[in-house]
Amino acid sequence: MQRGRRHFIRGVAGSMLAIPFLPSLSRTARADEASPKRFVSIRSLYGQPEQLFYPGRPSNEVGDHVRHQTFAAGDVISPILGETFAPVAHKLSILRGVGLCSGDHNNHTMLAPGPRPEGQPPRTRTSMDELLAQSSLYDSPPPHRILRAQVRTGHGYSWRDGQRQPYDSVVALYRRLFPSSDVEDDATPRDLQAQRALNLALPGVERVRDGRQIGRADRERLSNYLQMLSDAERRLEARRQRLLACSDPGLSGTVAAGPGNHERHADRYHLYLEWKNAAYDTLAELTVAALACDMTRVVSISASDFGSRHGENGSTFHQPSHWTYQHRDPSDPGGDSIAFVRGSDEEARVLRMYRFVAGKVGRLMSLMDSVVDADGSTLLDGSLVYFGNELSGAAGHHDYSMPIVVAGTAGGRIQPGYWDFTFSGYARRARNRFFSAVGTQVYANFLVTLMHALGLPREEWESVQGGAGFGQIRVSNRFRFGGPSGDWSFEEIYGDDVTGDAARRRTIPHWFTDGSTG
Amino acid sequence: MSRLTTLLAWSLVACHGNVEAAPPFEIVTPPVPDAAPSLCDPADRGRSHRDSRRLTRREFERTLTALFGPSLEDEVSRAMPLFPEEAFDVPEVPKDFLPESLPRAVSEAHVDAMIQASTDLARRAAADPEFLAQYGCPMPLERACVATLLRNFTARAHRRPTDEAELERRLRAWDETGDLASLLQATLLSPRFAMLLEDGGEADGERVRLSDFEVAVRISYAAVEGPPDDLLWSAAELGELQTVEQVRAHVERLLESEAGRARVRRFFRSWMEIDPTSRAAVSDAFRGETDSARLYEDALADFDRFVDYVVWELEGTVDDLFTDRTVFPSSAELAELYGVVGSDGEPQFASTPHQGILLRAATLIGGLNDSPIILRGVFLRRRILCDTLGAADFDGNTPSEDDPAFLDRSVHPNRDVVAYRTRDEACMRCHAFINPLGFALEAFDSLGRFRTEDRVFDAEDLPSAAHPIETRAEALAIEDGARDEVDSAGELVEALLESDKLRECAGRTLLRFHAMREDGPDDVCLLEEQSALARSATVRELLVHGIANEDIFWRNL
Repeated sequence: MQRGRRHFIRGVAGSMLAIPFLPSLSRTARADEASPKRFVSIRSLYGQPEQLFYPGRPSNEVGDHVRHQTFAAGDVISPILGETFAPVAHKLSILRGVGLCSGDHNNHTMLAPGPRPEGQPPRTRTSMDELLAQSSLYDSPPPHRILRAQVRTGHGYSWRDGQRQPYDSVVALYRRLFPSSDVEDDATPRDLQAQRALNLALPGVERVRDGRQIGRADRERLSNYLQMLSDAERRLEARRQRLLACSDPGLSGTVAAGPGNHERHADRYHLYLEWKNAAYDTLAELTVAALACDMTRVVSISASDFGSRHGENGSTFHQPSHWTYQHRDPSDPGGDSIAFVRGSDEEARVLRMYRFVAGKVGRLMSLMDSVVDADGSTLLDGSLVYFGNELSGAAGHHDYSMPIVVAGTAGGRIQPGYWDFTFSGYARRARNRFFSAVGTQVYANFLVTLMHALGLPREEWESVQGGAGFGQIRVSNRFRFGGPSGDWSFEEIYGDDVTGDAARRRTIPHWFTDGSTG
Repeated sequence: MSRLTTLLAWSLVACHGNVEAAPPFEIVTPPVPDAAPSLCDPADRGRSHRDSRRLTRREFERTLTALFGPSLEDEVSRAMPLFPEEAFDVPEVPKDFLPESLPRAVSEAHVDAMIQASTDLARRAAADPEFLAQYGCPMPLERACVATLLRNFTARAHRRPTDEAELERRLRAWDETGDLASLLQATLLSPRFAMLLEDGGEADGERVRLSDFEVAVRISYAAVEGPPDDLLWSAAELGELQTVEQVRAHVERLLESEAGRARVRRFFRSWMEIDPTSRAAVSDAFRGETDSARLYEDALADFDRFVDYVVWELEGTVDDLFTDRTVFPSSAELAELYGVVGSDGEPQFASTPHQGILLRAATLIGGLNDSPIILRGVFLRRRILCDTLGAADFDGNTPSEDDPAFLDRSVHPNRDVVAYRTRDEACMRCHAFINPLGFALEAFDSLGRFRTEDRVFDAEDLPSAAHPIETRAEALAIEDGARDEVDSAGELVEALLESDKLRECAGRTLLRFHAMREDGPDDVCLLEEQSALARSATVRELLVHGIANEDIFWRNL
C-alpha cells in the first residue's frame, strides 16, 4: 500500500506529539544501540548577506577572538535564519569567523562540489562527501553511499554498486529510493499494538511492585522488570518513528508533473514557485526517509537556486545576489552596494530568495529532529547538517569569514550555539566594505572538526588532499586587511604556524567538545 | 563445572591444588533421623521460599500452549526460538549446581522475547474464533463479552482471580481503541505472567500461608512445568487445597500424566548429569569400533524407559532404582553392551554387571577414550553423596615433575596413570576421596561397556596394548561406619545404598530440582521426611512427597 504524502508528514512531524511522552524516552540509550552518524551538506551557490544572516554579536567572550551565545528552542535567529529554524535553534551552531578555503565558490567546494561547467576539466580533489562515502562512517555498505541532488535542475546521482548512477529529476530519485512503493510493511501496526500493550502493562507492574506483600528481593526484581519494559517501549517508539520516516513519503503531484519551463515565463511564475516549493519539500522528505532507513548516511544538496526569472537579474541565485549587493551603486560601480540597496525593493526581492532557501533548509532540519533514532535521540542529534557556502558575503567573491550553520551535534561531539571567531580589531577599523569581518579560524580546521565529530580516524582523511590533512589553506594575493594604521599581516590574525600540517589538523577550539587534535 | 570440564580440571593437568587456601571439598553429614534427634521445627516449614522466580523456557512454552489452546499451538512453537536457552540446557555452562544456574530474575532477553512473541500471539488470538470462544467471547466482540474474555484470560495468564479494578482499566482502553490484541498482550507482559509471584495469602507469624491459587501454581509447575489444569483450578476456586492430602491427590494425578512422567524422567537425567549435548564427543571414542552416537541415543531411551519402569510399573524403591538389572535395548549395539540378544525395546535382564540408573549405559558413557576415573569419582561425590566439592585451585603449589615413563599408557593402565598424576600430598587431600570411587567403576569403559581389559590404542587408532582391569577400591570414605572397601562396581552400589547419604541426597536433589534453588536450613523438615521415605517407600511416593508436603502452603514473610 502506498502511503500518502500526508501520511508521511503526519508520521514524521506529528507523531512525537500524537504519542504520549513517556519517561522512558528520556532515559539513557543503551550503548549497544548507538545510532549511526550521518552527514548532510546543503550548499547555497553564493555567500550570505551577513547583516541579515547573523544575529548581533555574542557578548560572552570565552577566549581570544572567541565569543559565544546559546540559543533556546523557539528562538528566531535572524531575518534569514527565520521561523523554520526556531524549533531546532538550540541544536544549531552558527559559526562566524571561519575563512580561508581552498575551494572555488562556484564549482569546487571542499564539502560537496557542484557540477562542473561544460568544458572545464574534471575535478581532481576528493570532496568531503566522497571521502565520507568511502570511510568507516559505513560499517556495512548501504544501498547508496551518497545521495547528491541539485534542486535547480533536479539532477543528481546516487553512488551505489560501486559507481555513480545519475538521475535527472526528483521524480527519478523518488523512484530509485522507493521502487516498490506498493509493499506494505506491517511492522508499524505491530509496534503500535505492542506500545499500547506496554502502556497498559507498565502501571500494572508498578502496582504489583508496590504491593504490601512483596518482599525486598522481589521488589527489586520487579523494579528491574519495570525498567526493562520501559526501555523496550522506548526502543519500540524509536523503531516506529524510524519506520514511519522510512516509509514511502509519496510524491507531490506538482513535482510528478515536472518542472516545465515556468521560470522563463513571467506570467506563469506562480506555477514555477509552486513547483519549486514542492520540489524542495519532496527532496527534504526523501532525504529524511533515506537517512532514517539507512539507505544512505551522506547527502549533498546543492540549493543553489531560487529560480529567478528574466527581469529579476538573471537565472541563478548567484546573479541576483551578486548584482544586487555589488555594482548597483552608480557612484562606485565596482564596489559593494550593500548600503545603497538597503531597504529597497531589490533587496527585499533578494532577501525573499535567501529566506526561501534557508526556510527549506530549516524545515529539513526540523524534519530530521522529529524522527527518533535507534538510541532514543533524534535523527538530527546524531547527525551533522551543514548549510552554507565556501564564500563569505552576498556581494564580493571572498572567503574571509564564511557563513556556516551546522545543525545537530553528531551525538554531542560539538557544542551548539553562536560562535564568533572574528578578529576583534577588524570590524572597528574596516575600510573594505566587501567584508565586515575576518575570521581567526581556518576552514581546514572546520572540516577536520567535522571529521572528528563524525568519528573518522585520522588516517582516513589526512592522506587525501596532498597528505596535509583534509583541506588546504589558500592565501590569496588579495589578502590584505586594511586599517587606519595599515594592514594586518596574515600571521597577526591567524598565527604564524597556520599553514603547517599540524595546524591544519586542529579542531576548532571550544566548538569541538572532545578536544582531540587527531 | 560440567563433567567434561571437571575432567579437564582434575585429570588432564597435573594436580597441584591449593588445598590450604580453600579446602576443595568436605563431606557433608546430613541429619539422619534414626541416628539423631530430629532438627525439624514445624514453625519454620516453608520459610525457605523467600522470593519468586521467573518461568523457565520450558515453562514459558507449556504455559503459552495451555493459555492459547490447540488452535494456536503452532504459533507458540514458532515463538519459542525467541526465548533464550536456559543455562542448564547449554553444554558449556556448569551443571554441578543446577539450581544456582537458573537466574531467578527476568532478563532483558526474556523481555524482548516476550514482547515479540506476545505481539504475534495476541494478534492471532484476537482474530481466532476458537480462542475467543475458549474464553467465553465468541464473535462479535462487544463490551460485556470482552469483559468476560479478559476476566477469564487474565485469570489463567496470571494464575489467580482477576482483579476487577485492573479489568475495568483494561476495558476503558478497549472503549478507546477497540484493540483486543493489545489488551491480551498487556496481560502477557505483566510480571504475573512471567514470574511465579507469591504475594497473596495471610501472614502467620514469620510466615505467610499461601492462597489456594498460589498453592495450585506450586503444584502444577513442580509436577508438570505448566499452569494449573481445570481440575486443579477448580480445586483452588473451591478452597480444596487446604491439606496435604488434598494436594497429594492432584500431585499424584499430575505426575502420572505424560507431562508429569516426562518431568520425572528429566529429574533423573538431571540427577545423573545426563546431558545428551555435552556427550556428543562419544562419537569420537573408540573410533570405528561402534556407532557410538547411535549407541548413546539408544542408551538415553533405555534410561528413560528404566525410570518409567521403576517408578510407575514396578513401583520400586530407591534400592530398586539402583540395583534392578532390567534393561530396554532398542539397538544391536546396546543389546551387545548389556549382553542380551533382543533389541526391540522390550525388558530384558542384563547379563553384564550393569544395574540401576548408576551402572547404566547412559550414565556411564563419558565421551573420552580413557575411562573417566576422576570424572566419575567427582560425580559420585557430588551427585550421589551430595558432598560439597569446591573447584580445583592450582595456584600456589608446585606439582612434582611427571616422569613420562609413568604416563606411557602402553605400559601402565589408566588407573595407575591417574594414581601417579595425583600422587602429590596436596593432590591427595582431594583425590584420596575421589579416585577410589572412580576406581570401583573401572570395569566399565568410557562407552559404558563392561570390560576385563584396559585397552590402549596407538596413533593409528589400532589396539596396541591391554592391561588387566583392577576394580578393587579402598578407603571409600562414604561416611562413618559405612563399608570402606569394595571389589566391584556392584559392591560399590551396595555400599552406597547401605549409607544414609545416598538416600538423603536423593531427597535433597529432588528438593533442589523442584524449588530450583539450593536447600537451606529451613528445609530440614522436608529433608528428614524425604530421607525416611527413601529408605522404605517407593520412588513414586518420594517424588509425590517432594511436592505434596506441608512446606507447599508456606513462604517466608
